[in-house]
Amino acid sequence: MNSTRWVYGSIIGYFIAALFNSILVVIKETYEGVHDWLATTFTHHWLGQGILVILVFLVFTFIGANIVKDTELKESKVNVYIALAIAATFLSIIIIGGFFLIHFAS
Amino acid sequence: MSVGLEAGVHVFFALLSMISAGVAIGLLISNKLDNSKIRKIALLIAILVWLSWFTVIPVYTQEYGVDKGKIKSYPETVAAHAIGMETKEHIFYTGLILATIIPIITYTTDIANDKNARKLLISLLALLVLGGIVLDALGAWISIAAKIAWSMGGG
Repeated sequence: MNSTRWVYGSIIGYFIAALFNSILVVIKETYEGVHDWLATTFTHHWLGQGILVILVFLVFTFIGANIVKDTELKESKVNVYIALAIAATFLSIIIIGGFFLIHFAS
Repeated sequence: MSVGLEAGVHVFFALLSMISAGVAIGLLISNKLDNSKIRKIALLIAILVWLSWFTVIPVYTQEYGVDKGKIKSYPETVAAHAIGMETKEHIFYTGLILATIIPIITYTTDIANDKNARKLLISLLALLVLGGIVLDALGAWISIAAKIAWSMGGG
């Protein structure tokens, strides 16, 4: 089994899930219909958000693992994936925190 | 019913996960590397963060509403919910996924002998600890705001 693809695949999944999480916050807080759909479907909008984020992570990890062809962790590639993980984390904090900060201030 | 001591269970698991991540970073930086040990700690980190989520679900979805009403009653404390809690509850999911990929990496690589895998893992663990500190700070803000709001008698 080529395990490297699961390393990279999981980071691709993380990157997309983190961005999806952030964008879904903006969408559900902007469009009441999305918020209400999450609340009625999953009993609570926050639970629904979590379940969807986990599903997105699983789907894109699987897709990522099947796209990646690398068989070993090369330094240059690892640096790119570290940058992706850092970008995903900080974008998530900036988008979510920034949205609520602006929302509160306006 | 408002939020009680049971909220501490969520914080406790989160704190243990951050300490475990710190221990893992320490082991990775030192030369005492053992794949089996790192894998167990990585799995423990992920389990602790998931437990932190499971234990906060009833607190946030059923109990927090009462405190939220109090916190939102005063201009001095409303930001703790509108910015602090709203941000914290959603960023948490990013941390949940980040914690989940930690064991995936340890179980699919030879951490003890692959310096690139080690570098990747240390970076992810550092992000997890930093994110945990941010969430902990937001949690402290909300907790203090709730105390202030209740002491002011809002609601």
